Amino acid sequence: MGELWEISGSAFLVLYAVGVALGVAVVLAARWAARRPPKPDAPPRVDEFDLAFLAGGPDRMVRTAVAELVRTGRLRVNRAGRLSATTDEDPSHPLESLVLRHVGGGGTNAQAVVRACVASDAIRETSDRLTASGLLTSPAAAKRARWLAPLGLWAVVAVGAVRWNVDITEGAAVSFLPLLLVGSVVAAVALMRRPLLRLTAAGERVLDSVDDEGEFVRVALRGLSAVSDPEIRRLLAPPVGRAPAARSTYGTGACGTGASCGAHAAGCGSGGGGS
Amino acid sequence: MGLPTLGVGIGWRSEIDLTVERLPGVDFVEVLAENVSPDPLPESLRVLRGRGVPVVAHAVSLSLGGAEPVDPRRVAHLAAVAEAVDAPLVSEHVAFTGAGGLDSGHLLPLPRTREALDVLVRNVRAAQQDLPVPLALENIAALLEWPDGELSEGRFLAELVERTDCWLLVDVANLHANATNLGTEPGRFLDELPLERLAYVHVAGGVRHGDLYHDTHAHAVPPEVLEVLGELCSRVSPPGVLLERDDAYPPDAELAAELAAIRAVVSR
Repeated sequence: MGELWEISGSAFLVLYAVGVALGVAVVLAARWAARRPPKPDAPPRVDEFDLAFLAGGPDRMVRTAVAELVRTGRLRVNRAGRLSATTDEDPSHPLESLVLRHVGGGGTNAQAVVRACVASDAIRETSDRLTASGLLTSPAAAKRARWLAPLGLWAVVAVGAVRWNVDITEGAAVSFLPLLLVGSVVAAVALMRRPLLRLTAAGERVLDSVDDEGEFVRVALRGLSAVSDPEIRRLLAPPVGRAPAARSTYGTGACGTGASCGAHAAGCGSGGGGS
Repeated sequence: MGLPTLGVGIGWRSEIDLTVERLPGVDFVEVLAENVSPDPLPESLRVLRGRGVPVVAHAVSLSLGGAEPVDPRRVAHLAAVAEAVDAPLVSEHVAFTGAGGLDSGHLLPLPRTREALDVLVRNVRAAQQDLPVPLALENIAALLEWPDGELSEGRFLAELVERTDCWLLVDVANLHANATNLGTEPGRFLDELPLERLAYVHVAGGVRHGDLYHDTHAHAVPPEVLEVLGELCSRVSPPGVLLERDDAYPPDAELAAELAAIRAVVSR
């Protein structure tokens, strides 16, 4: 009885291991490349809201807007956590305008504002602009790196599975191949499940270079935990035990499971930092 | 027995509870009795009381000028709130708010006749019997003036004080509103009052629509209202002056500036 593909069992094991290693390397390289898009012509200029998005996603950006409006007296929060606008003046940033319009005369809390504003045009515009600036991975690149790049690895696994099946059918010894198969399937699944960081290497550098002077910037980078007034911090924070607001809009699903969206992010779209 | 000196204060409202706690220069607050439960008291009021800030309980629904007897449940609620906040006094309006089981939703002016005064005195005395602290009564901004009045507003209130031993809460914004809308004279009104019975003063904002003034409590205090306050202060040093704001709450800094402006007039 000849061996399948004229390759001995031990030689196949070596080839299979090499194939899996190459498949893993391709996936890692694709993920690495996705986070290093071509540099834009001009160096990106970011404001505090951009920093909030980079550091914590749309939730962080909305919470930063709320915290800043409260800090500057344009929003008021009472002991029940209800917000109310104190001014009719239109702020310069579209997200601040949106938050003020949503709050209006009062009755809503910070969590409701986050839920209402995370899918807004202001958030989308920021995401698109930061992506174009090379600070966030593009949704297409993220999708390719996460879902297409592992196809080679799955092809190697398929070949191994065929070999294993033939060996069993022909009564050949299959000592190590099943172990390798299981190991490579686990690796492939783990790589696909692991969300790609939306923050690019350039985005990380921007966050690393920020001088966190001023509460506005600190809240953008670290979330509500950076609000200096403990009472305000408590009133703006999500209730203990309450799940954070929906985060599906943070990019394209590349960050959808919420593991981590940046080196500085407490959690993808978690609104992080609540006390 | 006299009343305590209250200083300069602001109306406590749940929408601005934290603001009120934190505003500089708040010597006392006033709470709308109908809007709070005495048990448990809102946390903010407990915080203020813990700091020793006096809380006056203010009512709007006793309808003391109504032809019907005062609803004892409403008086009991006011008394309960007063006890819960350890109020040095409570206050209400010289007005009626309904009749025949219908609630107007507004503070309506009384006919200034001796007959109406008798009814008012009867109701005030009944309420006083069930209240644990002194009662002060406030002049309102009238939407209209009943014909055939026998007394000026000042004389009406003076006789009310004389017959019931109640205290006075003078609303200078209402005086300005009545002067603009009905042509009354704030100076004459103040001249006729027994100002030694003044408990405290209300100041509020409003807006002018053509020839009419709307006492909204939702706009900034206009200079004209502060002028009436100044006229009052030239006659007597008020034990307390309170800023009322009930809607369209401005930033903390604007409320603080209004309190400072009031304090400046009082300290002149």
